[in-house]
Amino acid sequence: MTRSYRLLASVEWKYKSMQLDLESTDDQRTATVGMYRLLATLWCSEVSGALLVELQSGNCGATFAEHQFFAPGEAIYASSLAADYCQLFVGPRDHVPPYQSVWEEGQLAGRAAASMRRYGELLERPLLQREIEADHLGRQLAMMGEIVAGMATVHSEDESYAAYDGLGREFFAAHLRWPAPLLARAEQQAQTQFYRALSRCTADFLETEAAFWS
Amino acid sequence: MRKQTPSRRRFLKLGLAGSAALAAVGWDRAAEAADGEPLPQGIDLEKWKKLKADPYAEGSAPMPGVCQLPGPLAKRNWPDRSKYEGAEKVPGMCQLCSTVCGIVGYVKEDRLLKIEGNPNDPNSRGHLCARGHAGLNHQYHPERLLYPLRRVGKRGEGKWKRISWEEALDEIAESLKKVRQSGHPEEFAFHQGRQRSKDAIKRFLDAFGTSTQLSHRSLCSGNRRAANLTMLWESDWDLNDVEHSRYILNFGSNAFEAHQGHVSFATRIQNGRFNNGAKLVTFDVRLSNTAGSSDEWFAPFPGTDGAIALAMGQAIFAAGLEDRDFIDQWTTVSADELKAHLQVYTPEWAEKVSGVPAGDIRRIALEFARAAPACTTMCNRGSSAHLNGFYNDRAIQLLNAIVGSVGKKGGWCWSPWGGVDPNMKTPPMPPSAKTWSVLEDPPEYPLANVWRRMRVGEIIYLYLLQDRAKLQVYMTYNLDSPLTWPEESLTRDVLTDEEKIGLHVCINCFYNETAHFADIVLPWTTYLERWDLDARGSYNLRPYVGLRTPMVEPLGEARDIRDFFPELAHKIGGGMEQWYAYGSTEDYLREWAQNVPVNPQTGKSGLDRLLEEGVWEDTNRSPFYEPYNIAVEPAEMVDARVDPQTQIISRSGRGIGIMTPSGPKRGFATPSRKLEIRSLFVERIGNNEDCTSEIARAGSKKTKNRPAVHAGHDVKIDPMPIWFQLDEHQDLAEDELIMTSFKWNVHNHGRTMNLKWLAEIVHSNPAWLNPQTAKRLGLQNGDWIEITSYQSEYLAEQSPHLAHRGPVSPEGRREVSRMRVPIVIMEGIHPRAIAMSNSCGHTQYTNVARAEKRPSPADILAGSDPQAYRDADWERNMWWEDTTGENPLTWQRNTGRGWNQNRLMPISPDPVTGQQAYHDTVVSIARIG
Ligand code: SF4
Repeated sequence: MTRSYRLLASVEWKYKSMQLDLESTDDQRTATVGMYRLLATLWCSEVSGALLVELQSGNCGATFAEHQFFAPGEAIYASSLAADYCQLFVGPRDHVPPYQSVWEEGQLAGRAAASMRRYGELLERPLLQREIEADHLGRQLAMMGEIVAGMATVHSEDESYAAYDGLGREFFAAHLRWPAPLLARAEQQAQTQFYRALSRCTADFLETEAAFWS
Repeated sequence: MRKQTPSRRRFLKLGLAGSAALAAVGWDRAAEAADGEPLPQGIDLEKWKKLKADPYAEGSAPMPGVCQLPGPLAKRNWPDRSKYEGAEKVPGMCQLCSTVCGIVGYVKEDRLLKIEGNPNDPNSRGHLCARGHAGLNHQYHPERLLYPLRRVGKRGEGKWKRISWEEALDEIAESLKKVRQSGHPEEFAFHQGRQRSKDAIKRFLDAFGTSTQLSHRSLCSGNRRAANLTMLWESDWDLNDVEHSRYILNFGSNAFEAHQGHVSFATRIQNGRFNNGAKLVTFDVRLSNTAGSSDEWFAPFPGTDGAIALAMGQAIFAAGLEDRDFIDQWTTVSADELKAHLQVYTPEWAEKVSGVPAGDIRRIALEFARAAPACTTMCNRGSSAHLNGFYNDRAIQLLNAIVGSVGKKGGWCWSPWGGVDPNMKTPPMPPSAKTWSVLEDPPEYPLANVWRRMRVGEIIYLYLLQDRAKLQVYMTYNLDSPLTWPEESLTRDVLTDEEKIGLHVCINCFYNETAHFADIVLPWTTYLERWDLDARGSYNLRPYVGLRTPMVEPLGEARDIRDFFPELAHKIGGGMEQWYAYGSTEDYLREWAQNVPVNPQTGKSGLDRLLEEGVWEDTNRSPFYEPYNIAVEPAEMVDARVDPQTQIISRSGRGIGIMTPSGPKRGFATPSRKLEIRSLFVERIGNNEDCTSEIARAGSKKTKNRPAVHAGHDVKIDPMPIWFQLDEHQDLAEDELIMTSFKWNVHNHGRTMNLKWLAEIVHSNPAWLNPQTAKRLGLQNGDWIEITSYQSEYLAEQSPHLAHRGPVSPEGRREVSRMRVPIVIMEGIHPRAIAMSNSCGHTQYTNVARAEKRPSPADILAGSDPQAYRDADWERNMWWEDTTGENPLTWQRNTGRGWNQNRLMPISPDPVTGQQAYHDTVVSIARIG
């Protein structure tokens, strides 16, 4: 189990028992990693029925409703979300391909994908069950989550901390400053509240992260 | 007002909530490696430090961006040659048209940077056309299909969800199993557009047990092929030896822009002209690039090529320039008989029907004859795609026999090797399926399938509509039928109807007008990502073999049929799986290519040699010149019998040659062992007569009698090259014209309009009108007209099963459809013709093809940083966007996506061969506004 997984695994009971301390740097980092991981998962694939149930239940449901992923008590079907995910990010036409190369070069597998493959060599992990292009936004979010998770495991005085910090700044600049037009378009084009919220949330989250990593 | 930056804290709760939800569904466990191996621990910082000098760092950009158009900053260093340093050169074969030129891909870190011609390719010799170079656009198009899709709305509604390959193949296998259980395997049809994986398709269909394989051959070359087969039997494809010619007579072929042998053929024509001073004369209703580059161009009345050719024959006889020896020895008519037959077809008569001056017809005929034997005709869709196209092409080919240039160096040649060198043997194939379907073998068209499976594709949807067949499973492959087949609306209606077509599985690289009506869409690899052995009839007149190999990994989850057919076969089971016991696709190719001999310089043979060189040609084999004159080996004469009347030599009941004054010769592979100018076979086969003895004399194993289900469908076929004109072409009203179609040098029929480098050059197809016509009808350049198309009266009489029910015009013509288009006025078109190119008018293909750039909100234009010059082409460089919504009032010249000519074209198969008569439709035009 990687460090980030270990970190996140401890979150479940903490969150369920509401023993979170959002003033604590540790919990803040954990939450940030969690956010990257959550977004990565939601960007990389359709929401499974089981995950949808979890997202809608209890405290979690309230938090997601607060971010307008859905209205409290609203019936949402994984099949409708899958169709919306498809028309938004998979196609077959008029979609908004979530690949950096497309938005920067008008083509698949361009410079950004090559760069992502290089970064991918730092961490080979079967993040996803599908063959997802290297410069897919979901992969980029996942990679950034790994960097933040790595950072969370070392002390700020540690030499590795500075290295993680450098890597984070470089990676964020190269691969997470591009998606604003994609996210704006996706928000406009989403047919479900869920994906409107996902696009908006991702945009807002990346904006806060941009401030942090600048 | 500036938006407030959200606080990081806002997301902390969400991050934690999300993590908890993910953990609860076992996300942390799901992310473990599938094989239970421990996953790498976090980020390897040491590795990162080493990778920091990464060549893709922002700003340096030495390699990527290969599809970018050169921007203002890029111009300072463009083209940037350093980007090819260290690139691996991987051979392959282009597949953007059927010429299949050998290519070399420059690949660096799994990225294809550039495509160029492979100089080892004996046919294309290292040349590529514009389409070939634009393969990069095809490979990296932002709207490529990357995942299997399942329809979630109504068919044709355009609503989809992503599914896994496993789900997709399970569903397809279930449906195919049911087809088998139903006892009607023929109700599984495989419908291909351009395909170059013949063995893989045949293996799957034969293993399944269906022979309902549908193709587009009749849209393309049915008449030319049938005319060749009538004369030669062993080849449907004349390979004009233009490189060694001194005179090239072109009837309606646009070899410089399109044609099945495009690059290989066009470069040889030019070699013939520059090296031998060959003259190129073109007859074409339209000033194509080939016509424009010819020494002389004549625009005959549409469909009169055959009349001109027969008149030339008459003129050659009249001048005594015919090759009597060849005609008497090697053809089925004597020179005197032929002269008598041609007597009525005088140049003056031909002038009346074609408009080409008799003096020119006579002059050119004699020039052609004087250049013999190094002279050849060439033809293609221009002469073939007519309701009299079979006879047009027979007449054109006859000219070569009259002057004795048949099979001669510089003359009219052919080769029996139409594809991969026959020394390459595929791993064992299943026995051929023996089913029959009216869709694959319609009984009305006697020559469609008699020698080869040419099939009459344009009737498929009509016959389904008429309930003459139904399909339980319909698998389409690289096909765009609503765009490329006549009667677009009928095609769409039938594709929508779930009663007529059960499960529709579409295999393609892109979503298109066919995929739109599918139930499952499977993302196909591009020709730069898959394996094949491939070749086409070589102009070197000997066989060769080339390799198509994955230059880069497939993007997304794209897969080739070679990859997933074995899996599908295993899921279907019932014995199918036994034909896929060969291992991986590479193993299969290795076995197939094992007879490629060793290259003494490299020591490599078989697939290894092809992987290095791309192509292999057996240069020890002589070009296929004058095959009829090859002596029959004495060993073959043992036990042979010579028929005293016909002189035909046969062995074990099969013809092997003919006795001539100079001894036993191979002759032609026909029933008479001669070039069949008079073909009694076609006459008899048209009448459903038994031709077993003719077939045996020809020594043919492929040719078949018509099956019993053809009984009652007799068609009169003249045994001699003749010519007739359609009645409806002789009484055109003032506002009536004959529609013709054409292809540009940057497009193929239905698959290239999405390639931005090509679409930028040609993206629209206003109708061409001659100034005389425009003046007569009071039209100006840029005016919009409404075109009304009519069904052929000839066809209505010959083929009542095609009857239309549209309204009847004052001239008594039966209306098919209407369409509004703008016009361009130019001299380069016959005054009684109207021309529109195909390739245009997509409605479902990519944004580039549809010319819709869909602008971003103003403040977030992608690629707006002028320093980086990020070239988001579809956002900014697509200047030809169509915003008119088809409104003539807002239309601007040279913008848009054009119009699908097939909205107008009626289903119009030649009653003899089934070739779609794309160039005969009578239309009327009326100015709008
Ligand atoms: S002629 Fe052009 S499109 Fe056709 S195979 Fe050759 S390069 Fe490709």
